[in-house]
Amino acid sequence: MTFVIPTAVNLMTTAHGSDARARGGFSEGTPTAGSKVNGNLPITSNAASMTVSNGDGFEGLYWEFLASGGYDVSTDTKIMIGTWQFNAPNRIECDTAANDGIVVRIGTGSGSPPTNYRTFQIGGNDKVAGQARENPKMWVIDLNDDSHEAVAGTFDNTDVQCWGYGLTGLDLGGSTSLSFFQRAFVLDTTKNASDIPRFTGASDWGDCITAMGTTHSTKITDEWLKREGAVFSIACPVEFGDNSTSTQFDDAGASVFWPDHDDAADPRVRVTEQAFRVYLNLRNNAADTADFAGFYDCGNSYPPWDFDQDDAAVVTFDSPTFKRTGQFDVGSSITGPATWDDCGIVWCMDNGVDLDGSTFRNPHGDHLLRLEA
Amino acid sequence: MTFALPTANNGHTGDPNSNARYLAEIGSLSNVQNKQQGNLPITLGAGQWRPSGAAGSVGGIGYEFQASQAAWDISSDTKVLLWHNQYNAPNRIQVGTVAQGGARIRVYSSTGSMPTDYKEYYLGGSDTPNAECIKGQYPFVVDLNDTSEDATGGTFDNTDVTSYAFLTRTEDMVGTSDNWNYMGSCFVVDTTKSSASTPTFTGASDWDDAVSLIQGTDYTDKLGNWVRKIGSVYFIDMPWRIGDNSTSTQFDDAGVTVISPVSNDTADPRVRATTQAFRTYLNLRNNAADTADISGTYVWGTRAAFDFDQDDAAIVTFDSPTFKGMGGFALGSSITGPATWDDVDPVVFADTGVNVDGSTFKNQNGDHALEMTAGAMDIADMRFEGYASAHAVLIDTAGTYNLDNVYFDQSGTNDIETTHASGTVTINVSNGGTTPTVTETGAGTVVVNNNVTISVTVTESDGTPITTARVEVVAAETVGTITTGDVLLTGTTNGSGVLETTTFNYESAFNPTGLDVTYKARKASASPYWKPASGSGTVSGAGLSVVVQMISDE
Repeated sequence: MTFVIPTAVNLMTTAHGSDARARGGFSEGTPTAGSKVNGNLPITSNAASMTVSNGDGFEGLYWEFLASGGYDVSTDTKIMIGTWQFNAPNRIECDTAANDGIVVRIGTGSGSPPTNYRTFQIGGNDKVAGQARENPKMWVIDLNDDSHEAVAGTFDNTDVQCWGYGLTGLDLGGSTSLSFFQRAFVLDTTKNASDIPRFTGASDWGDCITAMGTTHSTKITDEWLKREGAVFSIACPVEFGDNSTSTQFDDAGASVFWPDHDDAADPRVRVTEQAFRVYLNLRNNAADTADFAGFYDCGNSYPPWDFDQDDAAVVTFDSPTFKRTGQFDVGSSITGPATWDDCGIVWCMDNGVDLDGSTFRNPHGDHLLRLEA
Repeated sequence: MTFALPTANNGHTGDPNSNARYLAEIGSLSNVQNKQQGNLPITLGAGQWRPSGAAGSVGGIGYEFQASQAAWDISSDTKVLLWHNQYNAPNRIQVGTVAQGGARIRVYSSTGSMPTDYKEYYLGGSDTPNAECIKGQYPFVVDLNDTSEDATGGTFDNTDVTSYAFLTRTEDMVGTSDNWNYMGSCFVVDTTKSSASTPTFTGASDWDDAVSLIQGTDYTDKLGNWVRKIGSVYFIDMPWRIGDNSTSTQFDDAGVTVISPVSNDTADPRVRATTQAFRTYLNLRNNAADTADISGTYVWGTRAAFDFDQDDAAIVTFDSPTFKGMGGFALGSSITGPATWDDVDPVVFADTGVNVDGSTFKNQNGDHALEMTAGAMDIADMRFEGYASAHAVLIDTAGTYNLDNVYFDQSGTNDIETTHASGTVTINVSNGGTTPTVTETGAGTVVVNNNVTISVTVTESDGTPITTARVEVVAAETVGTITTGDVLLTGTTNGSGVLETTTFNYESAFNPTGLDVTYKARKASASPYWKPASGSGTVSGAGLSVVVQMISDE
């Protein structure tokens, strides 16, 4: 019934020059900033836009996350999800990824523009993002990820303040490059945090698609919550329950996938193992239930799953398959068989755990199962 | 190294009026011209147009599949049309909902400009991914035999398929701009094992080869989105085969997950497919140099068949792949190794040389999870789970079938159905396997043997064997053909203090709790004498082994 997408940190509906969160342009060059009619999501809203003004120049803009101060992610990370789009197929006009075709920067400290930042080469004319115009394309940057291609100054993960988008122009046969942006999110990755996507109520995976919006007048974001038939691809952490709202989650046998970190052909996702963590957080109440029968592949970041619930909540495994999770903690509220394939250790945190009938194979680590409760 | 797709049926490059296969406008159009960089790859232009009518009007553009509207007969085997369209900009979508037919494809039979016999599919709109916001080239997949069409004209004849069209219905979504379309290249692929126009892996290949071909590696070579990748998950919207039966092929799926779409999904009905559309074939040469290694997960949204019936020198290795949701899955003797089939309809052993020992079959769709229809053969270390109101296994040929450590969860009508018309099916169960229950549908007879061992060892308190002790094991309950008091084992112990039978028939009626027995031992015929001893136990599917210790009576 409910999937909660946290509030955006910036709707990106106004031109950079009019945005209270603007934080200057790239020191290498500042593009022409504007507003694109119907360029946002939903398409009833306008979007901040930018055009590379200097042919094959490298230009970009910064926006700050918060009205003041920054994020301290030294203990638990946050992820930033943004989406952007090119105006038309002949308005892509960007260089290769290695030549900073399309970059995202994460900046720390208070400079405007920042002097301390990491640069992630997320696309170019030789990557998924930049070889053709597609739907609003996402980037997902874990604020602690260190797979960046370049760094300036000293990155301080206790004071992460801003992000930037930049593009190096290149004539691919069309007109000048024109990008426009949709709302930006910063998500928590810890259990019970305020800004972590979560299911409550009588819910299933389809609710995350509904929450994203399904018509031209309701769709608020794209790509990082996506459905094809009974197959869902997501690029965020997830929590089942909030420990206060009655929750009955049923995955209905769906297949759910997370993207790979730093895929060579499509490096838009840069995450640590903390980014896509999954939590069970039901109330201590037999009315709270979760049924898992689906297929889950967490990608190459191997995020931990915390299903250590040991109370009256009723969680049923009906032969789900978990693939490429990190450490998978299991509590006594869980009953039923499952398959873990290429996962971190499955750790029975309570001696009441009943996973009889399960299969454990291809360990990602030293052991398949830990019986230490 | 290679994934092959047939040449584009129509590139849809440039002004439609200059396209050799262009038939006609549908409705009233404007700006019929070339869209710069509107195709894929973006180095190519695309056919552009816009309906010039008011909101509520429908406009489109039609083409012939082949020159002179030569016909395809798809009554036996279907073909699949892969196409895509694009809207010019966010304020240039302006199409209706899917229920209004915002974005449509027509497939025509017979000739004419435009023919009057057609099926029309409503594939997208402002309330589906196609037009909820601006996209790139948005993929459509239409099986030319699909019958889920949303509208028709005349009488469609699938022996005379000639033409196709894309149409949109104009509605004001946001603002007052126009509804600008441009069309990308389209492909028509076959769906049969023998056709060169069925997408095919050859050489030393894997799934990345399919992604590389369709997605390209940069802006100069992208073809579309009918194959795409998220992490290690691959989406394929077309039939495919491994090998072309003439080119050396070494395919390795590298353990990835492969998804085939559902047909006519309510939220995104851009795929329309019969169960023929996404068929899969193994088609290697009869050569030990041809190999296929399968260890991934395959999730199918339609009941398309997997034909892996290869019975020759080619080497196909299953390293615990999972297959879910597809139709019939035929296996030949070239295949070795365990797999999991989940919700498959059904798995068929097409040759008695098939060896997929160690496999799991669960949640069957249809009458059986496994059909052993090639003749008598042996299977080992298999599990059958979740076959409510059905049978796990079908046997249709008389002969002896050895089931070594085969587990049935006994959730179905019965575990095995036999349909042989004459002769005897003998089922030998061993190594602790479940004794199956059997439905005898045919006129032949069935014998189920589960020879388990009942063993009694008689010792002194320090473990020293007692020889020539008299032992008796007796049934303690009435179940199956056994009656309370029946003597199951009697005699004297050997030089190791053991008396046993290895041929006690464990009946399916004993499941799941086993057969309760009592046993006793004595030795009073000659010195040394021992006091009688007794006990009770249960014969399970693994048999019964007990040790009886006796106390000296001298």
